[in-house]
Amino acid sequence: MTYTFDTTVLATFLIFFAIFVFLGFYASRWRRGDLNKIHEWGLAGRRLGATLAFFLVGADLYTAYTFVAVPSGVYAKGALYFFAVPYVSMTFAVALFFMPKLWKVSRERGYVTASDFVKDQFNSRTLAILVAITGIVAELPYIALQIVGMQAVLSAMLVGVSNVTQVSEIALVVSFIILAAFTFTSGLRGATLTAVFKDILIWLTVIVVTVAILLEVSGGFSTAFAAKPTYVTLPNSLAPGYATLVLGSALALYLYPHSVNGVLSNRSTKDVRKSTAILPLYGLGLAFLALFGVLIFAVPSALSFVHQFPASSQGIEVVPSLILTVLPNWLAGIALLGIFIGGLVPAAIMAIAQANLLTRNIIKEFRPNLNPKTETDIAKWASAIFKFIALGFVFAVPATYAIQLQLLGGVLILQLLPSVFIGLYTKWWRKEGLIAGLLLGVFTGVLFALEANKFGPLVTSLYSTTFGALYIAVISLAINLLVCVVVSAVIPRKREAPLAATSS
Amino acid sequence: MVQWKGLYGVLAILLIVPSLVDFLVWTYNVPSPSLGGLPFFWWFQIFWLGFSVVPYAAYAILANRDEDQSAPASGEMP
Repeated sequence: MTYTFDTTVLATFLIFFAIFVFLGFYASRWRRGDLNKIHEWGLAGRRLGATLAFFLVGADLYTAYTFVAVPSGVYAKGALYFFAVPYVSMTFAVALFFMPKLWKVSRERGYVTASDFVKDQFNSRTLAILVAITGIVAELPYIALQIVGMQAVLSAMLVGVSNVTQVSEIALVVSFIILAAFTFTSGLRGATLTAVFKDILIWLTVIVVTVAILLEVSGGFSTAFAAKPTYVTLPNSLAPGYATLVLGSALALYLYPHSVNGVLSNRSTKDVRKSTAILPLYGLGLAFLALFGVLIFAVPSALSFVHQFPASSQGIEVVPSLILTVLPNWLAGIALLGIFIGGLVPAAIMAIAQANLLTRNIIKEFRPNLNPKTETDIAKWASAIFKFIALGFVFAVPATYAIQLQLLGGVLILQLLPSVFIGLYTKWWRKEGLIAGLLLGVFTGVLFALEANKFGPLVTSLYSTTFGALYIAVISLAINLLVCVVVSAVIPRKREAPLAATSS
Repeated sequence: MVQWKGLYGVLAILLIVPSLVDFLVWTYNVPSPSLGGLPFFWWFQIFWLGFSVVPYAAYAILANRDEDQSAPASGEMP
């Protein structure tokens, strides 16, 4: 039977949502801090222990990207979007190498953001502000992806209440309002405590749905791949694209402001390494969710549920529809809530990271004597405005290709690699080179993305080159690095002159 | 400060090998042997993701031990 609107599903969803809201509000009283102070609202007073910091970083991994965007890509295109699995594996190698070092210099010199570090390391306000702006903008499509995920859950649950278009519109508005209200009131501490609750529900969902499908459909995978024989392997022409999607995404994840935030809230470098090393286990859940994109072809009732939606948004309903068709209704309500808050919590964490960057690294550069109350007010309101801008991105991408939102964020944020990651190990860079490289990297990235999609809706992040179709983020990074190297090599070192002058 | 000269080499290998295998797309982009109906391309990458915990955990243990030994000399903060 195909699912239509059911009150049991809605009731369990709402009950667990009430628990979630309670936890969020409880959190703002927990280890009480004055939420009118920015570091309390935005950095949880920097008192998160290792376990909670682990969940905060885990929250970056288990987002709507995992539940909705990756299964959707796999459903629509097959093996190509399975790149998310090696990406998750590789990104922790990147993190193990760079993040303890970033944690250490940040603790020693009191940095809270990557922009703080860059400003000090390269003695450039301009570069620091550009790094902050890039961080803020790169988070926007990633937040948009979370909104798409929340919308997918609500539309699936409300199917039958009204026609599909209307249901989707209502779902989008409700998701947006809940996100704005949640971020505004809870701050990072609320988001972190609820992240633990979210992760428990998600694990429950992944395990229960996988088992239920494999029990219900005999020879689940064989049936699914028999229905979709082209999904068995990757077309050879896409191998370079696959490898660069892995590389670009892996290098990008820990450059996001919210990832930096999460890592810096750890207690020590040793904790950073410990929690990072075991995060791939967490990633296994992502791999199983990705498989749902293929498994759905073995479950006719789930497939016909998905087919009610227009082709442009079928993919995002893969996981919600499997939940609604293979689980008993009360359990489906809980699982759907897990996916809903799986978009909500990360979106809040990202929006808070943006707001921190705005006040700390941009506004304070111009108005250093802002009083704490005004600062927090600006941060809270700015994060609300940013979410409206993020909403614009929702309409730029057909929902089935929601993964392009994260890949677009990756194109932008990866351009910080020369200043932040490489900057941790060398002062050889000239600030002029880093600025020129960053600007050109972002410019070419956006240009290639528009060109690859013929200036229409975003459905691909690969750009054809003589080496095959490659992930745009990696192409732009290569251009960026080239500019950094050339400019840094060409401009004469003036640091040596004043040093010589003072010593003589 | 490093107790054992080859340590950094070992650390580098532990981090690089999992990613290196991920890059060799054509080596695992094959349908068989399949596992429970899942083609090799799909199950191998899931296996490799889970397996990467082993080198990563080894890296974390060795790097943390190295930090302990060099900490008193450089006066790091706890």
